[in-house]
Order: sequence, then C-alpha cells, then structure tokens
Amino acid sequence: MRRDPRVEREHAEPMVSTEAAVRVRRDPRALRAVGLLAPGARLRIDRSRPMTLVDAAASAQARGTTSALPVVVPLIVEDPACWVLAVPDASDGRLSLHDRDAQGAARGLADSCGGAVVTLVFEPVEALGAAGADRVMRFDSVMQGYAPETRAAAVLAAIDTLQPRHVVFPDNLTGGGDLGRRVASRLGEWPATHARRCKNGAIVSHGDGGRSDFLHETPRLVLVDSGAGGTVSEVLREGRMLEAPMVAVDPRITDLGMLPVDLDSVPLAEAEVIVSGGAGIKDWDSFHLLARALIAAEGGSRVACDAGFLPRERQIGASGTLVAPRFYLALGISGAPQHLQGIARAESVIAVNTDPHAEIMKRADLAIVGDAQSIINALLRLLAEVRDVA
Amino acid sequence: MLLEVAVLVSVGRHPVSARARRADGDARAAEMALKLCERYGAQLRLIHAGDPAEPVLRDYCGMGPDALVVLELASGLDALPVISRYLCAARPRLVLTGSQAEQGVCSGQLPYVLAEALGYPIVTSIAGIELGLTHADLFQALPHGRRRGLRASLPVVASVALAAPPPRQSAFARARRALIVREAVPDAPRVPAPVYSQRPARAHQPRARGQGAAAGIDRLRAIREAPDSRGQRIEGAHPDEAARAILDHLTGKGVLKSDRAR
Repeated sequence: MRRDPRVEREHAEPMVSTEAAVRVRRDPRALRAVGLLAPGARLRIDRSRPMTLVDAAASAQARGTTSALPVVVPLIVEDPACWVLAVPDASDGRLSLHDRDAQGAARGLADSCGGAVVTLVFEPVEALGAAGADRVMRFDSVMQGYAPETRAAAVLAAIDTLQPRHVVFPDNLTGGGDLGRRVASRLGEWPATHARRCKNGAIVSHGDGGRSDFLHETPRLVLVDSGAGGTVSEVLREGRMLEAPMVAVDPRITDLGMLPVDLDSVPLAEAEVIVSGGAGIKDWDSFHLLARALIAAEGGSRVACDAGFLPRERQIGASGTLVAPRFYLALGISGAPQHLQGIARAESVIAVNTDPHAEIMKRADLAIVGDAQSIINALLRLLAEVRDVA
Repeated sequence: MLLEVAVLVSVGRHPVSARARRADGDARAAEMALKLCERYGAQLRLIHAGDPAEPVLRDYCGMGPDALVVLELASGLDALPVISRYLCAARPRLVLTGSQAEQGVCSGQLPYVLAEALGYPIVTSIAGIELGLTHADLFQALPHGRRRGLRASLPVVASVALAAPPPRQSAFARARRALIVREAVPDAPRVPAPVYSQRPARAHQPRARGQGAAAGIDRLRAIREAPDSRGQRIEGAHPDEAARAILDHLTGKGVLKSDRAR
C-alpha cells in the first residue's frame, strides 16, 4: 500500500498533543551526523534513531543556530471506531518477522475502518508501539511453558471485553496457527487461514496444496501466512497498556518440557548444529566421537561420502542436502562451490583447514589454519575436561 | 480395556503431478495408529467421508487394516457434520488426523471443530505417542528436530505432523482383501460445503517494504552494537589453542548449553 502523507497528516492532527502540532524544521545534517555508524569502507546511516535533545543542541550549537528540536511523539488514537486484535507469538520477548506480518495485517485492517490495534502478548515484549500497536494487553504469569488452552481462554476473554472487529494471528504450526484455530472452534466461527493479502474487505488465502488462491470476505478471525502482512508504517504508536481480564481454566494438557534431541531421527536439513568432515580427516572414529560430544548432526563433503566414510544421505552440498544450521563446523573441507551452496543458509560457520587460501576460509566466521585431525583430538580432550569439571 | 482409535483419512494430491494419492499426513496418522494396534492391542477404525468407489482408499487399505469405514457423501456436501455426528455416536478414545488437507481450502480447522464437538482436548503436530490408562503422552514436533512432551487426558484428538515416522508401503493383495464398509449417517445435516472463488495461486509477494525497513534497522543496530566479527582468522596456533578458540566461539553463541543434553 502506498503511503499518503497528506491523509496521514489530516488523520494525525487532531490527535497529537499541542506541542507536537507546531511543525518543527527537520535538520537533515544533524540527523545524518547522529545516525552515522562506525567508520568503515561503506557509508551507513541509521535513520531510525530519533535525535535526542543533546544531539540536536550540539548540532545547533555547532552551526551557530538555535533550531527547534524535533521530538518524536507517538500517534495517539483516543477513541477508535473499532478494535483490531493482534496476537503475535513473541516467543522470546521479541517479535519475529512472521509476528510483524500479523501486526502489519492488523494495522491494515484497523486503518481501513478507523480502528486501533490492540496487541495481545503473554510476556513482556519491547517496542510494540513501533510495530503499530496502539494498545497492549498483557496476560502473564499464568502462561508459562506450552499452555494453549489457557492462552485460548485469554484471547477469548480479550475478545469478550473488547469486541474487536478482527483478530489476527500468525499462521504457523504450533504457535499462533494453533491458538487461532482453537479460538475459532470455541467461537464456532470459520477463520481465514493461510491469508496472503487483505484487499477491499476481501481476503486471499492460499490453499489447495499451494496450487490455488481462494478469495472470500474477511471474517473476524484471520490467520496470516509468513511474509504476507501489510505495511507497518513508520508512525510510532502509543502502545498503552490495557488491563487484562482474569482468566481461569482447568487445562487438560500439561507440558512435560522439552525432550532431548534425537540426532539420528532429525533430518540433516533441520539440524541445529552440524559437524562436517572432508578429505582432511584421518581418523573417522574421532570425528564421530566429536559429533556426539557436541550433540551435533554429522555431515560431510562429497569426497568423504564418495570414499565411503559417511553414508550418502549425509552429503552436504548442491547434489546432497542444503542445510540451514545455526552452527556449521567444517573440518578439513576446502569448500568447493557446490559445498558452499549447500551451506549458504548456515548462520555461523567455523572452518578448519591447512590451506589458508581455501574458499571455505572466506566464508567462515572463525577460520583456523591448522590440521583438522589434531584439532579434533584437542577438542575431544578439552570437552572431556569440561565434562569432568561440570 | 479395549482402546478404540479412529483415524480420519482423506484423498490427497501429489504436490507435483497433482494426481490423487494417500494424503501424506493422514497416511502418517494411519501408520501411527497401526503401531498402536500392534503395541497396545488397540482397535483401529479408519474413517473416510466421501465416495466409497474412490480408488485411493485402497492405498490406505493396503497398509493393513481389515476394513475402512466410508461415510457416504455426495460431492459438494460438507463432510464435517457427517464425521462429527458419526464420531459423537462412536466416541473413540483417540482420534488421529493429519494436520491439513492436501486439496481444497486446507484450513486445518477440522480437528479443532471435531474436538470441540466431542468435548475432547486437542493436541496438534505430534510425532509420537505413548498411551497410559487414563492419559496419553504425546511428542510434539517443533522446528530443528526438537520435541516437546505433552500429557493429555484421554479421550483426546491429535493431529499428526509431517515429522512423524513415514507410512509403510501399501500392499496390493491386502488392499484388494480389505473391506470397504459403507455407513450412512442418516441424522447428519446435509449442508453444502462453502464455496469460495478460486484462482490459480499467484507467486508469493515479497515482504512489504515497511517490514524490510524494520529488518534493515535491526541489521544496522547489529552493526552499531557489535563490531564486525566476521572473518576472524587464527593462524599458526597450537591445536590446543585452536580447540579452545572453537569451544569459546560455540559457548559464546550458546551451543554448549546444558538443555541440549542428549
């Protein structure tokens, strides 16, 4: 959706406080100076950081002027026409990209009916105002661990209190998708699932095994797909806390906690930590021991699989598995282009190789020039020591 | 005590060839139920609502059940009230389903509505199950191969994740032998299924600009707060020092935490 500054201004004027209604002159030089990041080869400016009073005063002084200070005042919606409830997962105290999609979709629905967004969270989450939340309702303390029934009851209580026009969830398997469907079945309503776009009151949901789009009128409950949200405009919202209603349910599902990961049953593409070996490994028994000690999945280059040291399904690369681990430890792998394709989505790579000019050393976050086999042995000794101490 | 397990199966579609096939999630649910039969002596009932002449149903029969119950339903009618009425009469102790259909709107809402109608709790996305007398221990599949243990009181509705063990092959002779039992649910309301306007799927829109900007801001913050650590290089170090550096790197990023214990 295109931003229309004029409409935004008209919309905002009666709502902002009188101080902010006085238009202040922007000082682009000062903003640039404030946002300038650490010196480097590439010019990077962080324009997100609002100018502080000190910054502005300093820049004004430096230029011998006394310019008015720009102050970022959140847009306050005092008396909205309706409420739109957004229920992000926010699992570790921050909004994921999928959560932002849900916020964006809620924002779009609220803007189309002159409403305000209430974000419902189950633990403290920061910067909800910047993510388009006019109000925040927080249910905490009772929601420890996986408690879908209690959470559904909380959402139902919020719906009961606020009577929102729409409720938006991120559609995933065990978070918002589960919660939204629970709420829908309790209300006896049919939600829009896998929603991709909301346009003119109609919603496009993705279905038929990914082959078709279905168009229907926007129901009360909307579950949005990842990457499908509307635009969260850069207007800062208030994020005022609302009082949460009391929730009491007798849960029939109890959380027994996370289970230890069984590495043999996890597909390589899903593994979180991978230890990978190539031509530089002499003693494969020690390699297997290291993988066990680090609780990591085993992978290998084509060379290792061709030589029969690892089964073929453990091959990583363009002709094997494309992996996306958080950590990838490449031991004695030079980094053929096909292998580097396979680890393109790895978050962090540690490489050990005798050749300092090997391609993998350029890709690595930590590159160690040395013999992989002796470093494996040293690592095993060190891990044994650590375990003895603990 | 004889434990009755009901598995709801549907006609799936192959994602590439678009041919009719066993729906993957439903086949995994059937596999899980068959294992329960072998282990606990549970009584299995496979249920499908639709056309009894559908050839794909034979693929489920080939997995080993003696019979498959088909609730006859003309095309264009909503299956939900029929299944719901049938299950409310049968009241099985455990209902297994796939996570979502492979054709149609694929809302994934059916198990929730059934659980609500039956008054059972629902657990979703499970990869394994163990049964007690009054409760079931279910293993919920999460990303990165992690599993969460959940305990639910029986009876329960559970939807099976694609991370569950793969289904066994369908045997031709067994598929021919199994009975397809037609059952009518006379008192179920015949409601037409909701019709939506449908069009071929369009390519996924790229993430909206405002959100990209937000992500960009996060990236900039990361640059501001953490000095560039990419491309740290250690040369000519003793293996012990190198090993220590690797371990420190892993510990710093939280890989060697105790909760990742086997």
